[in-house]
Amino acid sequence: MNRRHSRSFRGLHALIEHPPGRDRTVLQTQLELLGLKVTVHDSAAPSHDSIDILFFDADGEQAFESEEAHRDLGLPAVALIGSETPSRLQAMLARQPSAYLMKPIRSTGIYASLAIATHQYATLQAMRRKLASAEERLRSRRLLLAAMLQIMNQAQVGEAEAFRMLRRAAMSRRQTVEAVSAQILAGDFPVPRLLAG
Amino acid sequence: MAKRRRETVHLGVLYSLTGPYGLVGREMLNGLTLAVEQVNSSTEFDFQFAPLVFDPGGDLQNYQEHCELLIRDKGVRHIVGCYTSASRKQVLPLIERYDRLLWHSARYEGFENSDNVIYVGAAPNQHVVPLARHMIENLGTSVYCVGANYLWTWETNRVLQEIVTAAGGEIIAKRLVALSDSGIDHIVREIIERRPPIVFNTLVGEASYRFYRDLHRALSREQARSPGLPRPTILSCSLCEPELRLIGGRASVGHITSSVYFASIDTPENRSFVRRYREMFGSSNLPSVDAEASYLCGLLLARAIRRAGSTDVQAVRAAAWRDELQAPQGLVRVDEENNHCYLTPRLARSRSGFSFEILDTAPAPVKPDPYLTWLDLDDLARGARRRPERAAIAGQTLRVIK
Repeated sequence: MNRRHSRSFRGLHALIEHPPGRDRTVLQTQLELLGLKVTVHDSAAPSHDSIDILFFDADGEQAFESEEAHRDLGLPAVALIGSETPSRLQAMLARQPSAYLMKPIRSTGIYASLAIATHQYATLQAMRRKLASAEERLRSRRLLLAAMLQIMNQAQVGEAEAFRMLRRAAMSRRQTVEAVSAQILAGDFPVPRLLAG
Repeated sequence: MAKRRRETVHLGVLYSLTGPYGLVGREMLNGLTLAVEQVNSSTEFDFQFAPLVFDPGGDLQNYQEHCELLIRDKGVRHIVGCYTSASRKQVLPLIERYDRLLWHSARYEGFENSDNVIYVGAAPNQHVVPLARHMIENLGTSVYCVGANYLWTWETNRVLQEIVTAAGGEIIAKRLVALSDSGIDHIVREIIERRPPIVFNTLVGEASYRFYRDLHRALSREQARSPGLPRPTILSCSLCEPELRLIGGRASVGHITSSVYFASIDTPENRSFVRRYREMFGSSNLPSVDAEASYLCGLLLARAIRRAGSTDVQAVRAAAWRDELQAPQGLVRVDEENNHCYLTPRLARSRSGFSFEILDTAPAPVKPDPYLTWLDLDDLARGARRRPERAAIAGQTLRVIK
């Protein structure tokens, strides 16, 4: 496999959703110059499979009812903006772009938009993952506490010992303490077995 | 008497005289022609305009190519033209790159201010905002929106929605049809069924005329069956005199328009403008807001060239800022802050004979606010007509949920 240096976008697959014309030509030419594989589509493409980065027209026709649901594109996107009217900007933001380019598109700025979009999207994804795991832990917090109380009552141990037992059980079963807590509360894992553990 | 040879100033003109909005293009060219005629026949100007008219036919690619031709081959410094925002966005990069000046006559949705454009058409605080104010103060706050699916509709609907919502009202529905589509039967049916008190119309061209006609016919049928049924008031920011004629007859009467110009403005300046317009283009024709605006483009440009003593873009722009013109619509001047114009918003109702009865005129020319920076929704909402039945309904249904 070819290795590309960290600031090269060579080999990425870009999709441009924009009507034909000078703007699209300039963008496509510059992206190809930067080593990207480019697919163009006059309007919204039916599928974004195998696409690494999307450039979309922020001036295009919107869904007939403008209050379209925010959809996660699942890939870094760059908005191509002509009109700065709030109605257009709102529709553009609903697609959560990570960077933008102002029309008329010039070769200057395209490379920076790639760098910003990919970086911002990676940062956003990392934050989303962190947030999801923190939310999951927060939800499990109640389970963990309830399970610990049950152990403390049934085994007549203190808080520290109860948590040690819980963690030991989790490690031996290769599960998270939250998962074991849920099993204890569901009665699938009786406390005596935990004591035997 | 030996006459000094007057210098010729070539003037680029980019109006679509054919194509989907050819009617407006011809209106605008008429207005400009009147200005050119006035300048060329006056001894007050030591130059003559020679217009170079290009017709992009409503095709965006042509706008770009024709603009480039005018600048590079014809060497013009000033271009009067464009109508849709899409067409303006096409030529703007060229105009800016070559540092030329575009004199833009059409009203538009705002959110732009280029150093290289003089915006002579109305900004949003001069068209849709006064209309929305009139509506919530006099007609009600429950409105049905119908329009062509493009930027102008999206943006005017948004402004209307903000104002209506602030006034405690609502947009009952937004119905958009494709620009190229004139099929509006389903919309007429829905209006008959739902009976909205107010309809805001941003349809374009033939679709719009058909909408007025078909809705009028459908409503008349309904009224024949059950007399006393109220007719919805149809509001618009663009309906103008020549369009009333195209709608025709009874269907063209009773609609409200917000505009900075109506041919029925009763001032000496306007009477003279209308008279000269009719002399030149036929006695049955009344100038539209677009004709007046392009007339102003030509006149403001001529006066700025005279004041600057040159066609140099920088000098002409600076001279235009210092001008004050007694226009057919009233006093007009260019705001140095944003290159848009102080204009006088008016509201009028269409009457029989294809003209408008003016209902309200702003007390003074209004400073342009292209980004609606100074729009005060609270202030607007304070004037809203309180509808007791609505308040009563709200009182019944609002409950504290514990």
